[in-house]
Amino acid sequence: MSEDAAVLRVARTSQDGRVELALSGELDNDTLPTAQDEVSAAEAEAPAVLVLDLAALEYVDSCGVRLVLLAQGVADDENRRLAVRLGHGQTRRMFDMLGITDRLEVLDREESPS
Amino acid sequence: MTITLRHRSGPCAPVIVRYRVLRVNIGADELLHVVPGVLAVTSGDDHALGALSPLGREVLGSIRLDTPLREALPGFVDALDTAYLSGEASRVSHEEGRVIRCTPLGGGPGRISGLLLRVVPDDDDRSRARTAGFQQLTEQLSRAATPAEIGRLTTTTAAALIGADSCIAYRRPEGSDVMEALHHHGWPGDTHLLFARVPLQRGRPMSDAVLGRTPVWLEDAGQWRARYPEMASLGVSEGHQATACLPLLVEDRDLGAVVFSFYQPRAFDPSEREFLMAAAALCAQALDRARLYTAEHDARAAAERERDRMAFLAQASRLMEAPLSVEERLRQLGDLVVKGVADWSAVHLVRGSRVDRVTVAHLDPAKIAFIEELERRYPPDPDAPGGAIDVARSGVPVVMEDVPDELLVASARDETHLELLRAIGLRSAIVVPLLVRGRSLGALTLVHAESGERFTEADLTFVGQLAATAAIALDNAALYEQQRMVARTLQTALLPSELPHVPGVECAGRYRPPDPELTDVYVGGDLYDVHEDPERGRWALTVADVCGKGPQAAALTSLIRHTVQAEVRHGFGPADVVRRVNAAMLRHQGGSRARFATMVHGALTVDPDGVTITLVNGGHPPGMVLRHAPPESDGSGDDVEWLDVPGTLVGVYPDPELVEADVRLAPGDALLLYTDGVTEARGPDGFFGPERLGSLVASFAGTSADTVADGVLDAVSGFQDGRLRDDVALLVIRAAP
Repeated sequence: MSEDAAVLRVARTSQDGRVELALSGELDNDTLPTAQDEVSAAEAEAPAVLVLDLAALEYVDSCGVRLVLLAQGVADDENRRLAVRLGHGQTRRMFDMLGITDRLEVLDREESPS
Repeated sequence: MTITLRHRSGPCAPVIVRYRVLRVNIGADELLHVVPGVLAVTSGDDHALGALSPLGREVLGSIRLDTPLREALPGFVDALDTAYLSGEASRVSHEEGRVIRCTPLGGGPGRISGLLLRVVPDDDDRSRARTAGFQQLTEQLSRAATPAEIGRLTTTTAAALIGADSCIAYRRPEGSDVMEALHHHGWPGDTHLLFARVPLQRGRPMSDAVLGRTPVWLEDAGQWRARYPEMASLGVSEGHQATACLPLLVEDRDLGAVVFSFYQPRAFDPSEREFLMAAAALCAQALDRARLYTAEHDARAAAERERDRMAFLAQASRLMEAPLSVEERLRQLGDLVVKGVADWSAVHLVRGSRVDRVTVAHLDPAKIAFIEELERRYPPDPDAPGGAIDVARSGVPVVMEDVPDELLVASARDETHLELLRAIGLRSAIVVPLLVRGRSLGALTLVHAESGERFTEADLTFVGQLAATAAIALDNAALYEQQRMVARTLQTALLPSELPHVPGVECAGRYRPPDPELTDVYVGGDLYDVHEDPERGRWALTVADVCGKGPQAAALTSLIRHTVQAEVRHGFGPADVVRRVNAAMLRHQGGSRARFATMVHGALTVDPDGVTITLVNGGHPPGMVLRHAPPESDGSGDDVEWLDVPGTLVGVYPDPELVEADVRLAPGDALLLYTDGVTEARGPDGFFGPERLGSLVASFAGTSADTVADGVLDAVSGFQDGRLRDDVALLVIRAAP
């Protein structure tokens, strides 16, 4: 089976103590390390709020959930905030199915963390 | 290279020497018989003919004895008178370009009694002959490639040119102080054996020549005795008188020496010395060229052999990576070896306390059959030292440059055995252990037989590399086997070997790892299970998926399975069982969120009208129910229902939201639970997805649980061209129709 290697792109913006990582492409076991590196780098800056935007991902599996849960664990431990953008597609449906949407600070598309 | 010969003209020294000797001891008549080229002897001032040799008659014509040559040969008168009166030799030209020399005989000037007439070789002729001989020698030497051939030419052609009666040519191996004879000529019997190997030692003529880098000239036995009193008896023992020992030098290289010996005394005057040294120089140059040629040839041969061997090793390495069984790989390695490196090869493997031969190879199958038969009739002695079994056990390689017959005799059990062993024609063997991480897994044996080639210590590196390649492949295979065993053991801890029989219910469980080739070694994070809760007359069913793979995931999977089993036995209802699994996972991970799981768990009770399952869903993909007969209320005929039971994944939050929901299965209805490897499957047509799954399952209406399970698994696998992206677990529960 010939399939192009999965590609993950991470765009980073920061403003007023908030760092936002916008992920696009595919987030799976192959690209998870890349995403984790980006998240770790952002966490190292100790932003008051870290936003992970998963809404534009074309594919995400349980690895995406793992990324969010780990980031949430770090934020909880260090008394900072983690927020996610899930959009309204497959990513959102997966988080819903896992029963964790209510346990995350979920932002809408253009919504800024309060 | 050019050799320039200069020949100085001058009196012919040997004649004078002989003349002086003869003057004292020998009468005039006798001169005719002992001195070569003598024509006549005269006496008195009118040069009366005293004696005429047969050559004299031929050259001078028939002249009666006592006839005055003054009358018979008027053209000679001036020369004859000059010699007679002055006491100095004179010359006269005669017919056919001959030069005749008139040498006075007698007690000195004023007391001359007569003359000796002799044909003298023309200096120019001799020079021309020597030049021609030199050219011939040069040509022959230029064609000679080996030291032995150069030695032969030196002792024959060069010696003949010089007029030596015997000759030995030596070479001096680089850095050695022992001269080795290359060739000898003209030595009677076995005398040359005395001079085959000569240690260099000052005070011996050849040694002095070599060590002093200058020739040693011994013109006669007297000089032998005077200069080498200890060696003289040996030096002249074969009747030799004169000896010339010349070092063979090229620039600063001592290549050898050549010893010319003569039965007659020989005055090595400057021109003679120059001539001999020039001849020796020719030989030395040839030897030096041969040395360079040999060195270059050896270097090229070594480079070519090294290249071939590298290519061979690369080939062997590729073979060792081929997807073949260990035995097949070793068999092919053996075949490869006999195509290029040896006549025979064999591989032995250590198996517990035994060492078994797993392959034997030869290009000729008949020979292999011969060996098989031989070993059947005479099983190899496991304790024989130096054999493959010994090497496989000890890990110490053995090189047998020669396989002596005595060894065969010692190894043979009886006469027939000995004959058979001899028939193999073993010439040389090398046995190396298959070493990996300090342990010997077996031995690789290479044998030269009919090719006549030999193994040496120098081959150990190459054969050792070959053995190492095989050993690593063997080790990997063993590790793979070990991993397979661990995986199998783990997998049995994760999945039921078979599902229990539930009366009134069909159960079908399936698990498939991502890659079918990994079936034996893959330990995934998916599980399904059904087990009885006899105290409450219920059955517990579980499908779970731990995120990630590998041993840590497997450990969590195992934890889930066993926690569920324990808590069900403790009498907890499904939601509490899942909460306890959640708590156990949190404890297990010590608060880290490295792993989570989704699971669906239920308690099943059977009644006469069907089955009721109380389900709890911890973040797991929704199950579905395939109705045997669609409810009357649903006019669309849709016979698949999705079970939307909300709940939080397990292993992350201490307070998961979990609710219990009852699912009723009428006879013939089936419940399908699955992991996300099903819906998340991706193929050329995108995701497999819930819709596709729904219509697929609908197509199995009225079929058995096994049919549904196999059908879903096949469809998911086929959707991804047979290679799954993730592992898949399925559980189908069907109320008996």
